[in-house]
Amino acid sequence: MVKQETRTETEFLGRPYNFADWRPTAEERVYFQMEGVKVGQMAPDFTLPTLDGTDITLSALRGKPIMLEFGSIT
Amino acid sequence: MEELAKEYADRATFLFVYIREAHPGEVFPHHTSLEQKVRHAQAFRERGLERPILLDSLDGEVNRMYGAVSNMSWIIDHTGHVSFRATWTAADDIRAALDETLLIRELRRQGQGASAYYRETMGLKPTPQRPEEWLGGQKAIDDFQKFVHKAPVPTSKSKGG
Repeated sequence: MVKQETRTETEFLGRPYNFADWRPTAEERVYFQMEGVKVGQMAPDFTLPTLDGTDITLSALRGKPIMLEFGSIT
Repeated sequence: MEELAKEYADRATFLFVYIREAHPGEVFPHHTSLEQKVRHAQAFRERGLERPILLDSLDGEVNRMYGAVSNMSWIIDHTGHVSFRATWTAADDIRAALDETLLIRELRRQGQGASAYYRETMGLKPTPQRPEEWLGGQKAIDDFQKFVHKAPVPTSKSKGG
């Protein structure tokens, strides 16, 4: 009986799954709402300039896996 | 990530896309012109980033195409399909995903018909212990501390909970 009651209090990200009061944690707002294409789908193609002055087109790099990191200085 | 890029240099292509500043401050404020962004990008080289640095447009066209999260890592297989994506960049995850992506390619090339499956996982992203080392400036640190330690917590009484 005790175990059954515990099961209804399942937690997700440290909070009850069925929470009564929504609060905007970074995890819920951003990190678990990743938009864009999913695994298994074609990666959207793009061409961007590099810092060194050349252009790189994603689709021209087929043949090897590509590790694409998005980031900033801060 | 630089070490990994060097280790896998003959097997994979590593690219870095410079997007909006995740924690802007006095030193590195939010971008207001492409010229400023290009100028700021030099800081990556000064800090030892040797991978090709791609400059996303000021309004983050490619970043938004890929989900618009501030720090993301994606792996795209040899046919152009996404094989991994995460809202953080962790070297161990990248290594494991790259190895699998390469193995699937190898097995398929050998005609062994590698079957792939879909997987989602949650990773542990530790809270920065020393935000004072962040490059944005004091404002970036203050903003972070405010959010992490002083975010308003609901005080409403439980109603029939």
